[in-house]
Amino acid sequence: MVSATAIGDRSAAATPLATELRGGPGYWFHTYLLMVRWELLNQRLLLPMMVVLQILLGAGMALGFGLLIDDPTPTEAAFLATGATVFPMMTLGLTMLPQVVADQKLNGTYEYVFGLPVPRMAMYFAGLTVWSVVGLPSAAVALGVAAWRFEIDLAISPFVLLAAFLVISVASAIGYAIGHGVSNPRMTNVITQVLIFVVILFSPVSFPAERLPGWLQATHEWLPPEHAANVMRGTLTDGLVEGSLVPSFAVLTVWALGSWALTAWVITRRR
Amino acid sequence: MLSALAPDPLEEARSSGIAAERRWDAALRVGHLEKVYASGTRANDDISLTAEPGEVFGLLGPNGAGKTTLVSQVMGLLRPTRGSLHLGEIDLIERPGAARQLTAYLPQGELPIESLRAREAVELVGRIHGGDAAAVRTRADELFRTLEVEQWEDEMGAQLSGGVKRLVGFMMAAVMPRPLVILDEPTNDVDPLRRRLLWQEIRSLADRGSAVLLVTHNVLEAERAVDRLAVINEGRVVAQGTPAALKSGDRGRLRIEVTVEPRADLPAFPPYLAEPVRVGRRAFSTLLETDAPRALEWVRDLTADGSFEEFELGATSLEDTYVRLVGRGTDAEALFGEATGG
Repeated sequence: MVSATAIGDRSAAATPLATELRGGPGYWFHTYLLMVRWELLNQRLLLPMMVVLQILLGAGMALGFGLLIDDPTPTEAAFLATGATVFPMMTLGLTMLPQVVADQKLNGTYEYVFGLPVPRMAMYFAGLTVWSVVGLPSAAVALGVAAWRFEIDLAISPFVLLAAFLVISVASAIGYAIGHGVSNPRMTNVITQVLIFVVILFSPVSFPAERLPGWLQATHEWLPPEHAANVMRGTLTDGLVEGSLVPSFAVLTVWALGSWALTAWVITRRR
Repeated sequence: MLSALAPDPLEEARSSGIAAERRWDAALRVGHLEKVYASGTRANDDISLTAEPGEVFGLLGPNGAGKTTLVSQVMGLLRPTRGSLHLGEIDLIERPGAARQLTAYLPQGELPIESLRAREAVELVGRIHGGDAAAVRTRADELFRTLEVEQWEDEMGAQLSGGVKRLVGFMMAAVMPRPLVILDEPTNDVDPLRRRLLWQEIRSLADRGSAVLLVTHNVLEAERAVDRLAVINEGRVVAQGTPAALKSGDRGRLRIEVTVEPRADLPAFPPYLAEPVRVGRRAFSTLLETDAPRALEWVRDLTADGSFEEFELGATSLEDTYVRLVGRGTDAEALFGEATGG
């Protein structure tokens, strides 16, 4: 069974067989940090380019809106500016994360990554962390460019951090669940493209909900985009959102918890 | 980090009952495993096998035989339809997370190390498997040295040749020795010299007490490298045992192998030779020992007239047994993979 050479082998003594099972928050956090490092190092050539590209996109979006609507009213301008911060976050969660998973399936690395002894949700949060680094600067740049272009006064509340966290959480958890749940990676890309198209054009993010037909308005009361735009607008400007932000925060929190639960189920289940 | 003066872990394991039990009982036991996909495909059908600690266990079979399906279930990526999976006393179906912690895995596919440097990749996996930084570095040093790939340790994955990348993948699996090590075609694209070093390292993983599950197409290499093996075909285990035991079914037979020019057609084989299997330039067949004289005469004539470049007549190998078990009708590329196609 065990050969004589191994018993006297010095190197065998240096690394005994690791048989202990790890668990708990310490294990979770340790593997999370290592996966963040893995992602950062493994994208080291791509990341700087992605950050620049995303920033240009954010700025382009703010300027592009200015072309669509010539000389907007101050309210319209504030809608455009705050909407421009929501789109990069939605794009990040709904298209970038699922595309990373789809790519892993296409290039055959999925098996390797998901065979690693890393809790699945730690892996998800590691991906989310790294891609947030890519996506978030563009939201800030979009806001800055829009504020300058449309000459609007921002009143930034500290709650903007909570708002941004919730928006990214909902979008990314849904995106990640799609990435894992849809077995054909090419299909993933189609679904996420359609989803982001609907969010950009038919959600009351950059325009008031009143412009939509009644049934769509009613539907949006239960979906994330309008509330995402609401909490961002409410924490970035003063007096633009009528009434309390609490219902919007509540809806987003429920969506975040629900989509995490969905993600956890999708990525831990075995076919 | 454990110093070289630390008590030998194997000795330690023997003196402490608990540790010994945990270490030596960590066999992989697959019991009547069945996997039917949602599409209705029965990829694994009543598979039972045991890979003991300290043993290199081969899993041989043509493409689509169900080897990867079996491994994916062990790794907790797929859920078995029926049957049991245990590593030591741990139920791997109930605890897929435990399966991943106790198993070091080198899949057949690409490694996600595009911009990771070889050494970073090896050390990161060691850390993810719970090794402390210093111990992992020491072990990585040792692996890079013994496999003679030190000159590539600072290269990024994208710059590595297929063979070196495969070796990096092996080191990623070997850096923290685990009770179960699964290697799917570890020698693909590896040059002959390092291939030998790699086999030595695989053997030393088993010597440290791991059960090594080796998935391969390469029958010739497997014959020398594995202690026992199972041949899988169409989702079922068609034979299981030591290479010698498996070959015993071919007792009383000889093997004839010929080499032809690339792309040259194979001349017709006489009826007393089993239907030949062609793999690239090689073609081989078996015959009864009593037919050896006329077979020798036939093959000499055809070699003399240039139909064959060379020939070999000798004892049967595991390759012949494999072909007999899996069926001559099967496409040679499916039987032996692309690695041996040349």
